Amino acid sequence: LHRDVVVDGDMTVGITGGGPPTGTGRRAYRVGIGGPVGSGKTALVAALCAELGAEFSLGVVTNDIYTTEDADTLRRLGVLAPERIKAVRTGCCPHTAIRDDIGANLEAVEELDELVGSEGIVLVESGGDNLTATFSYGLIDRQIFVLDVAGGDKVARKGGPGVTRSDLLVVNKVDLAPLVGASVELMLTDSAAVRDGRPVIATAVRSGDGVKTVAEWVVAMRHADRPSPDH
Amino acid sequence: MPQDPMVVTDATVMMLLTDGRFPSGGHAYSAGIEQAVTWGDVNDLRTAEAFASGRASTAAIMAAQVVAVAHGIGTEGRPMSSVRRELDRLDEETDARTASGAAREISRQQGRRWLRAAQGTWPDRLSGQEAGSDAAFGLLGRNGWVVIGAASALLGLSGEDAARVALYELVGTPVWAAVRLLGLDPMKAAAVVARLVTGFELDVRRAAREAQRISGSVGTGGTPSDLSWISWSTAPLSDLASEAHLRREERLFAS
Repeated sequence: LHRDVVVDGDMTVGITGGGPPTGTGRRAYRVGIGGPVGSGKTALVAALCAELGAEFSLGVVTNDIYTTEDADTLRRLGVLAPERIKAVRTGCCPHTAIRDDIGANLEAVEELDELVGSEGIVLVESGGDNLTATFSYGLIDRQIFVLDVAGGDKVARKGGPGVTRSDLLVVNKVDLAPLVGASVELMLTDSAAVRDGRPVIATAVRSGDGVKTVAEWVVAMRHADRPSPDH
Repeated sequence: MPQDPMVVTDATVMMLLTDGRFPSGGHAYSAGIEQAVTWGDVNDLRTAEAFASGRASTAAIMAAQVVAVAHGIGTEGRPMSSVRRELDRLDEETDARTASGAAREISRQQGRRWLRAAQGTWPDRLSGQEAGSDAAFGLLGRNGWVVIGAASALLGLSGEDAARVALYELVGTPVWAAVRLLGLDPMKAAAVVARLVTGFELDVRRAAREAQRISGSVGTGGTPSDLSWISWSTAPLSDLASEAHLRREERLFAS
């Protein structure tokens, strides 16, 4: 499958189809961040913006369920200029807006493309959802799924497409493990067992632990997916 | 005899355009019913049906005529310059019939999403144009009904069938949103959609045929007055609700 086709010989355009991530279009690199409610998606987005902001032009799309809470939080934190943060309404179904019917999100990322530029990175944060919610590769190049140990250490074992198929699994709030009686070790082992070699990173985003590793993964993926940075 | 798999029949186009899983963004719209629920005007299946029925008996007639005229304009083989000019006129006339600024904004947003989904699905039929960007006919940024009508012509739907698609959207959008908002029985909601679409289908088809007849005889280009005959009937409650809804901070749906 080709995400990029040439029209009239001189115009490269994006087709809204699925297919493997190519990320070679004249648009920003797109990373989806999904996961259950309260797992730390917004905190991770904010931390990544701070970590990547010096090197890359950035933009963020949020998919709040009911309010513009996440977008407002990011604006308040001042991690990005307000116009680089866009909120999409998801009509009670946050997973539909990132997976089955991605038009509204595509509009938002395309609007950001003009601001962010083709060398930049756009983070698309899903609304808090369940373990089956994953992004369509028609929308993003790579996706991160965020779990947290406070949600229970059995969650990784329960699996679901977010846990098994995401390009990166982040197990967040590892600093809380002793307080909630959860085993980080168990979560990492369980998730590694179902992920077919795909990476897992343990983080405590609030204290900054592991954020740098996640940021490095994003940059590495961008370079891997876009061997020629000029396009 | 095996059929050519590339042949797209009218029925397939209609089924896809009205399928709730067709990625044209429909799931995120409520056509104002979320606001009507907040106001307390809609609180059960009966009142949801009344809300949708109001749209089917008024706005659907206007939509059918806009769709039918756009269908005529979008028919292949017409000179591009006149197509754009006529679409401009029709777009203005549609705006003039959409009292709420919020509803006009939503209509254009839906037009963009329909166009993107249709271009992604039938790139060859829509002039090989790229998804999400402007089409040869200048459809990007037009009102939703204008997009539905003109694109339907290129997809091989009749003007009447395109108007039926509009009716289905007008009825289905609020009713299916009400299922989510109020926890209505989805089977009974489906029965409401079926009843309303069937009940108003003849009116909508008649309105579309009339529009085709008039625009076929007097034309659609030139001055705005050429299209002044298009029905002015709209759904005020839906308009008011859209207006209030767009200013709300907390809302689930995009409309």
